[in-house]
Amino acid sequence: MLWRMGRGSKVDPGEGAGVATPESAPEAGDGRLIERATGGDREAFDLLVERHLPRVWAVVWRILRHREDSEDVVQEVFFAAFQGLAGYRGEAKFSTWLHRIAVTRALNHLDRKEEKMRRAFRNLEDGNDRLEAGPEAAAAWVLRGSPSPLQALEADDLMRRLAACLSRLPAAWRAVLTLRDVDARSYEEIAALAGLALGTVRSRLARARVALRQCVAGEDP
Amino acid sequence: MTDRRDVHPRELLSAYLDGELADLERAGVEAHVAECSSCRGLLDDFQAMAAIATREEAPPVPADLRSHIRLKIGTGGAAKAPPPRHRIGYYRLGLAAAAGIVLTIGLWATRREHAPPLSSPVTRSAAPDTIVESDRAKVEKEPVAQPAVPANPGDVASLRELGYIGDESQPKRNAAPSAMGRKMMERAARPSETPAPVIVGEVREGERLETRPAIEAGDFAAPSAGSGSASAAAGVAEAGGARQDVAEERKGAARMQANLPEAALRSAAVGRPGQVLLFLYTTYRVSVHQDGTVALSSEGYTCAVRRDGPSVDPDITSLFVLASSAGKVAGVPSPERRGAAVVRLLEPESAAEEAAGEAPGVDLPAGAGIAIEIRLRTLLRDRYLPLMESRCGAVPRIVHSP
Repeated sequence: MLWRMGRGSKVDPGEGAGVATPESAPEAGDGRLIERATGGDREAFDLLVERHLPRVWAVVWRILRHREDSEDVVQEVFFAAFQGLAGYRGEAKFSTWLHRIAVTRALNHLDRKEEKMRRAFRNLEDGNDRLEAGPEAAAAWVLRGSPSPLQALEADDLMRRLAACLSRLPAAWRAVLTLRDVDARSYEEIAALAGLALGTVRSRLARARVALRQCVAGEDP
Repeated sequence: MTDRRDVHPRELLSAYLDGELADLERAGVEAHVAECSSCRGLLDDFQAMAAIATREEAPPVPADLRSHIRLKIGTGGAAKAPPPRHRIGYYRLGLAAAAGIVLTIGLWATRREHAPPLSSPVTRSAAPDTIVESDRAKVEKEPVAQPAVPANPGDVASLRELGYIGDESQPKRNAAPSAMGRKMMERAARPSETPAPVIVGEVREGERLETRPAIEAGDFAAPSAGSGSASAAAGVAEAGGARQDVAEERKGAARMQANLPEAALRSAAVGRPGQVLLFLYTTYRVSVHQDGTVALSSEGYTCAVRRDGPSVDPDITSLFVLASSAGKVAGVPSPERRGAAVVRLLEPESAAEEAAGEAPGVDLPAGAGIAIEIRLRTLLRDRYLPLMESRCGAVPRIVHSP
C-alpha cells in the first residue's frame, strides 16, 4: 500500500502574508499584471481574475458544495484581493496568496452558517456520536463492514456516491477533509487555516472519513 | 496495541494515512495493520475515497460570476449578487419566458376570435391560501380583503365555457382555516396514507424571480385567500372524499383563474387546468399543481407552498409544457430507479382517481421524466425547499439527498 505522506511546511494563517520559500516568486506573467493592478489598473486585475478564477472557484466550491454560497464567497475573495494588493509582498506565489484568502473566506462563511449546518446534519452527527460511544462500538462497526464494502463498487458509482455523501457531511468535517485530501495540506496548515487545535484536526479528519465511508457504503449512520 | 481499547484505532489509521504520526505511533499502527484485515480494508477505503475526491471536478465557473466580481469591485463592495433563491439559470428563465410568450400569443389569438375584451383587473389580496399553524392567529387577527370587483360578465361566461372558471355558488375559502383546513391538518398528523399536502405558504413578493417573462410584467395583485393552491392541496389531501374534494380543487383553481387578468390567465393556461405532476420517490413524493402549488409529502412531514403573486411560477409552467409534449406510457408504471422518481402526469379526472387510490395515473417516458425531474430538483433546491423549511419546519434529510 502506498500511503500519503504529509507535508511539513509551515503556514502563515494571515490572508495577506505569503510563505517565504525558494519557489515563491510571482508566477510568470502575474508580476506585471499585479504591478499594474496595484496601481489601480482595473483591466489588469480583470486579467488576474480571469487567470485564477477557475482554481479559486474550485477550492471554494469543494469546501462549501453550494453553488450560490460559493459565488458569494468567490466575489468576496477577489474583492479582498483587490483591496489587499498593496499588502501583497510577492514572497509567495500570487496563486498561493489568493488560495489562502479563498480558504479563509470559505471557512469563515462556514462559521457563519455553522449553526444552520449543525441542525441540518444533526442526524448524521448523532450517528457518528454513537461510534464515539466506545472503541468496542467502533470496532464492531469496522468488523461489520469488513473487509471493505467500498471495494464492491464500480469507480463511477463510487464517485457518484462520494459526491453525494460529501454534500451530506457536516460542513466543518468536509472542510478539513477537502483541505487534506484535495489540497494536500498538512495538519498544521489545516489547524492554522481553520483555527483548530492540531488534535482536533486529527480527530475530525478521522470522524469525517469514517462517516464518509459509512455513507458511501450505504450503511445507516 | 495490545490493549483491547486500542483495537481498530481509526483515528491513528487516518493520521497514518496522512503521514502525520510520530515514529513510535507509526510503528504501532503498522504492526496492527499487518495482522488486522479490517484495518487494512479501512485504510484501503480511506485511500480510495481520497483518490476519488481528488479526481472529482468542481462544476464550471458560473458564466456571470466574472461580471459580478467586476461589479463588486467597481462599487467598492457595495454591490451584492441577488439572493440565492432568485438565481436560477438564466437560460432556463429564457426558455420559460419564450415558452410563455409563444403560448400567450397563441392563446391570445384564439381568445380574440371567441371572447370580448377583458375588463380591468380585479383587486386581489396577498394572503396565503391556507396558512401554517403558526400563522393562524396572525391571519385571524388580520382579516384579508376579498376581491370585490367582478370581471366582465361576458368574459366570465367565456372563461367558464372554456373550463377555467368554476361555479360561483361554491363558497369561497377564507384566509383563516376552514373546517376543511382543520380537518386536513388533523389528517396530516396521522400517518400518511395520501400525498396530502397540508400546509400552504407562498413565496413572498420580495422573493420573485429577478427576470420574469413579459407576460408577468403587469402589476398584478396577489391571489385571494381560498384560491387554487389551497384547493389543490385539499384535493390531494382528502383521500376519503376524493372526488368531491378534487372537484373542489378544480373549482378553486378556476376561481383563482377567474380573478386573474387576461395575461396572467394565459400564462397559467398551459395544458389542462387541474393537471398535477406527481414525482414518486421511495420515501416521499412531490406533487406539482398547475396553479403553481408544490407539495411535499413524506412520513411525518407534509407541506405545500406556492410562489406569491397572481401568475404561476414560469418554471412550474415549463414543467407542464415539457410533460405535455413528452408523450405517455399509458398504464405501464416506469420501473423505479434508485434515487430517481417515477414521474406521473395526472389529468383532472385521474387526479381525483389518484387521490382516491383508484387509478395509477399515466407515467411519462423515462427520458422525459428524468429531464423534468432534474428541473424539479433544481426548483426544489433553489426555491421551494427553503420556502417549505421557513413555513413548515425542516424538510426531511432524505429529500435533500440526490
